[in-house]
Amino acid sequence: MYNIYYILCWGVKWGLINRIKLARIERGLTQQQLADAVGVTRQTINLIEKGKYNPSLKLCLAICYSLSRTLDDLFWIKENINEKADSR
Amino acid sequence: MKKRIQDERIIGEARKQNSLGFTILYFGVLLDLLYRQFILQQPISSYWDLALLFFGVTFYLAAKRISSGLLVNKPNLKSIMPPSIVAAVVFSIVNYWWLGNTSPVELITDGIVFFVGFCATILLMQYISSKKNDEMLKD
Repeated sequence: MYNIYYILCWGVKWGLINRIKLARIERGLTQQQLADAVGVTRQTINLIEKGKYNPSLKLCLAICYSLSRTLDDLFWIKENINEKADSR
Repeated sequence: MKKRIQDERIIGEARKQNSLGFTILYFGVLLDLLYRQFILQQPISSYWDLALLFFGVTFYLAAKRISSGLLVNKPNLKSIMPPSIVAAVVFSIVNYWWLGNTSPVELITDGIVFFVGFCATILLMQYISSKKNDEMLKD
């Protein structure tokens, strides 16, 4: 069954999409403030917002708690990662 | 005192680079050993420390992979036949060309012993690893 699933998914680019930037701006936080709140560098927050780094679940949850959002609000997986994040 | 940042991206990136560095070093040492043994034909007494280090690290990695249950294949004689045959053929070629063993009976006997030993080792590794995997599923 798993083999069929992998064959069907072959060639599809899966990507972790997030809405951190929007939520951060709504909360009036800078990247540095968010980075300090979750204990990472500003570069990491920047890369996460740009979708160039996939954070661990622990970091995802830390960001969610800092921005008072749920995991589902901020992160989701999309088949075609080239599509825009806000087309959810 | 300011809290020290434990950035998972930096830690992960550093681990990746360390891993690449280790791989380069590992295969560099392997190539060096092969060069000394088969091209320069130096006696093992001149590079035993390097050989000990290389095989020590190799056995450590193999033992850790087995004890962590990373060999996920169930013990299966059929699947380990092709690599075992290739390893036995390479062993026989080395035995003939470099070690100068020209007796056909000895060559075949050595090849069979190596083949059986190779199969048995892989089967044993897969068996221990699968036992470990089964243990993980228990409460």
